[in-house]
Amino acid sequence: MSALPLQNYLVVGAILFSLGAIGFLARRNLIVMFLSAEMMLQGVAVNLVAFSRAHGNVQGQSFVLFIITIAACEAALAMALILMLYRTKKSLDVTLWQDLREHGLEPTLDREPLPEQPPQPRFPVLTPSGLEPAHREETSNA
Amino acid sequence: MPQRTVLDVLSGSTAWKALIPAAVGMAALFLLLPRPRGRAPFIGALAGFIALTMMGLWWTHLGPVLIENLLFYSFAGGAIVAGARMITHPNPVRSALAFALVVLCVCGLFLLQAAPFLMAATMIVYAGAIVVTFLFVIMLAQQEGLSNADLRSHEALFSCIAGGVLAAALVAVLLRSGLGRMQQVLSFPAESAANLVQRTRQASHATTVKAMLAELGDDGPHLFTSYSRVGEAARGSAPGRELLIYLRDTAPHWDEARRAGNVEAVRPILAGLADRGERLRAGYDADGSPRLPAENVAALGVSLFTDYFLAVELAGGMLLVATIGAIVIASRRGERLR
Repeated sequence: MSALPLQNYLVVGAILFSLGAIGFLARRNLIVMFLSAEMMLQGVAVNLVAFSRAHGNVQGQSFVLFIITIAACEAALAMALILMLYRTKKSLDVTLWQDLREHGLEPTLDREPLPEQPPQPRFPVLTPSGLEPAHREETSNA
Repeated sequence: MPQRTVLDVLSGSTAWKALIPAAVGMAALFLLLPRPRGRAPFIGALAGFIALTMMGLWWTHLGPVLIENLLFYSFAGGAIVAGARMITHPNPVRSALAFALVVLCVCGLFLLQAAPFLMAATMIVYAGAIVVTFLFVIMLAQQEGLSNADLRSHEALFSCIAGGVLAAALVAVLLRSGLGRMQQVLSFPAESAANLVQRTRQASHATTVKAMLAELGDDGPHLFTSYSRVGEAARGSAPGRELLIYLRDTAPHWDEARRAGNVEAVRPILAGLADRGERLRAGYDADGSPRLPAENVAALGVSLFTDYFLAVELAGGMLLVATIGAIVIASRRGERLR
């Protein structure tokens, strides 16, 4: 393989990076925002591996190993922080934390109403047979 | 040299080649992002496929119909389509699964670039651990399905414009950078190097210094220059560096041996040059592209534990710190955040 396919792989890396940037800016779910950031890292990894192949050494691949390591650390910490945020507001919406933004910005309000959801299907309820056993209350630690 | 202005840059055709698919892709993503009103999934998907086709035709270098190129386009197209689905699907579980598909396609691209260990490591760590962890978090936190926030997006128009401009700028720079010229820089002059090494080998079997130099022909007085050019072309690889070090160490001996006409001193130098040249030449294909070592894990291990040893230690320390931090952060109960 000559160096000309190098351009192809760099284009793929650039597109993945841009997609990740759009996802990070546009979505409001904390999990999807984090996954978009991870997709940006994937784009960078594609670039590095392509250059490693073009130069004929494994320096780019070593760098990608470090990227994977740091991504794993980042995932662990992000999950811990997201769980903490969820515990206080009971939601994964990032706009609930608008007070952390800088002063003077317009608050993000949900003005447009959502379209009518189709009614949930009503499932039949079976009459229980026998006696229900006694069970303790569920204590949720979430 | 006259300064180039923005207008000069924009008037080239590569700017339009970079801009139009990015603009169509941007419009497609804008139509696909979840919104209460005005979301058009089918038109958006159609526009997305048109944009993807244009990108494949204009942005990539279409090579011959080999299985490599077919696999490349499949994996690249799969990664981009799955990535677009990930950022535009309202359901976060579907987004996470689409991200797993992105990781699998990127691993396919890694395999095509002679990185099998990275393929396996990325699949295990990303698709196997990170995505699963976040699926657990989604299932814990959003058990009722889609929430109000998932059906809306933040500044859809501006984020699509920002991403589209980013993609167009990156690709415009790539198209203008003349990666075809880079091939001359990156590729190894395989044929001329093979020629040189063969003549050096034959010359080392001659009996007098005059015969040796006659065998070498034009390269005789400039032997070391030719070899240093070959070594510089392969500077990134270990045999190339070895050749350059050998050249540096034996240059004074070569000069005095050649002037003194000492056959017994010249022959081992020629043999050494031919040896290292052959080893170097073996690391390249006939068209000059480098061959990565087949023992990818061994090569990675050598590189990590000799060149980047400090970084490995620091990465280990970082993992430890992150583990402790995650445990401490996540196990705090009942602390009220202000």
